[in-house]
Amino acid sequence: MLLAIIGILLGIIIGLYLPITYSPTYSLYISVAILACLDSVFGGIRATLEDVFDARIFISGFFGNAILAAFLAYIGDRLAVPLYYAAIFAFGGRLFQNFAIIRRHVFGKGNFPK
Amino acid sequence: MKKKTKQNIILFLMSFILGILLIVNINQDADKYREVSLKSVQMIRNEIGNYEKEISDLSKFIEEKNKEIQKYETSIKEEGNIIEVIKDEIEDIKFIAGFKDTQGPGIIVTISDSESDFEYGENISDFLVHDIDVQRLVNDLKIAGAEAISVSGQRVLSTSEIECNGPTIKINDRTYPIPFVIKAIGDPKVLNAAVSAPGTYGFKLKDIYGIRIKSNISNFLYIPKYNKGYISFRYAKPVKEGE
Repeated sequence: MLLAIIGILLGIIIGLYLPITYSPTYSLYISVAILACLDSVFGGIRATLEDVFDARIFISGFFGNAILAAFLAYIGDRLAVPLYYAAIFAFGGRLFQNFAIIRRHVFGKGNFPK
Repeated sequence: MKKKTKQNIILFLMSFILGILLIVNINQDADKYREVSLKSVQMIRNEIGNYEKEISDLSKFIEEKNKEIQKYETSIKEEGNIIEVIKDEIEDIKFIAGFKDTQGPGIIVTISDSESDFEYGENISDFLVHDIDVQRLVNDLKIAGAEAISVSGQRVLSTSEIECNGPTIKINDRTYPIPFVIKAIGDPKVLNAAVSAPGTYGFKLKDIYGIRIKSNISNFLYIPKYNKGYISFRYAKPVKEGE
């Protein structure tokens, strides 16, 4: 878990100096994709703590969820239905759940939420 | 143990990617961007060009002024005052303004009315030299780089009128008959071309209307100074520098 936090911080520091820019129109899609990635990383942390970590599941979830979320947002834009809400609620909800479980693992309390 | 390390590396890498994505997206600053049309890009580019030209003009101006200051300073150092320099300057300014007799190479253009036979149905006015003809010739000479111009012995200044006055024209408040003699100092070849090359106004006058125009190149021309005394302004006032 410590490694994940260090990784994020390192990414932020290096990202600050990367001259990457894209059209602001894609900002929403990237944001939703980031949410998916965040969820995957939290899931990965939880899996390592529970010793059920599977690299294939993690990597496919990381990229697959991100691409799917961005694609959903894009389709939603085309159809004029805010489909990216689906991604936000799904990943957002799971994010908090994963976080709750991680906390309980870290502090060693047994009563996990279902 | 090995499996655990692999897991950690993957987790670390993915977190790393997430961090980069996160900060890049935050750094986009979508509010700062606005859609800009190509036309406005071009307009702004032109504006920048204009400003750059203005800046270079101004720096040239500063350089000139610095030279002047240097001249004053050396004069003060060597002679103790700047009276001589100022006198020189006044002479220069008088020369530029046309209050000094001038000499140099140039051309003499003589214009007089057409002498061809008048036929029925033709307009008599087409056979005469008009004030506007002289005006346009003077203008052509100015475009060709004439440095000093006189019409029938009168120096042409910014206040000089060239006005129709019956069969005569009035310039600097004096009336002159034909032939009108325009003298201009400048590059003789260019000046000559400006009034006699095909397509110029002078050529049209000669070729179409039959007005008699003769231009002679002269290596030594004398153009008198403006002889009505100094021009005094009643309404125009100079703008003080820095305002």
